[in-house]
Amino acid sequence: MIERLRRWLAAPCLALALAGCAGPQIFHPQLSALDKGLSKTQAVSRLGLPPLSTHAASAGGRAFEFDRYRMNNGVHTDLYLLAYERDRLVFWGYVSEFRRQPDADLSLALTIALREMAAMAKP
Amino acid sequence: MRRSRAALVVVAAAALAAACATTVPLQRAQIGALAKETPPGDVERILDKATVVAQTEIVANDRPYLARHYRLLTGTRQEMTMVCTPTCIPIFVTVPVTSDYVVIQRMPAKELHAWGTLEELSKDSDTAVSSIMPIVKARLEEAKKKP
Repeated sequence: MIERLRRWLAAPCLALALAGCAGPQIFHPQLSALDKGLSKTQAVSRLGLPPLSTHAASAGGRAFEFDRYRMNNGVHTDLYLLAYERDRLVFWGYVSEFRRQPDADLSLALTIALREMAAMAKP
Repeated sequence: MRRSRAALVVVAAAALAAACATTVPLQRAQIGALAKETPPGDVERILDKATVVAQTEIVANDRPYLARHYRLLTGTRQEMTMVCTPTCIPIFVTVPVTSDYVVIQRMPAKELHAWGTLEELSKDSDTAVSSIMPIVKARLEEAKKKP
């Protein structure tokens, strides 16, 4: 019986341990606290977590700054970004959400920032 | 025999708890039936059976709005309980997973203005929607705290 119980508990414990190893993460309910126009300081304060890294990128003559986070979706973590223009939060989401939003400059700047993130991740 | 009795007790308790639940969440089919041009009467009919968790009337950008807060059913998860009598058996109960969902109408005609999760509306590309969200969220929080 104890062996069965141990087996039942092994999977959730392993999942918890793996999630714990993934580093600082944000969770979906935290996103409701974000509003367009927040300064970076305000957004970080509302999330209660600083970004893992920040990446500047320009497109169409506009300068953006992308804060990189990991979003815990309950199973694993995904790349999640907050985008600022002149220190004002303009958009936040998964990469796919950035691709769907109508600001083409923002989408292009994200492509540049993602390239930089990929380059930084290489050993 | 004892095992099946214990299982029955847990299943019955779960069924009772579900029956007593007072909040009826919105279903995807309901929000799928909404469109910008949906007449106010149809909006009411579509949302009719879902429970309004909180509602508030606000004035933003010099226009009055009615914001209603629902729970949207986004999925289910299984919760496990161990019942030992004295042999232990796992009992699985399906629990609904919901998200905050808001429907905003322009008053007094109650024309549909916006609908979505708090996150979706806060970052909406239409500034007529995203700009009113800080006050909508603050007022809904106040409304939820009222007894």
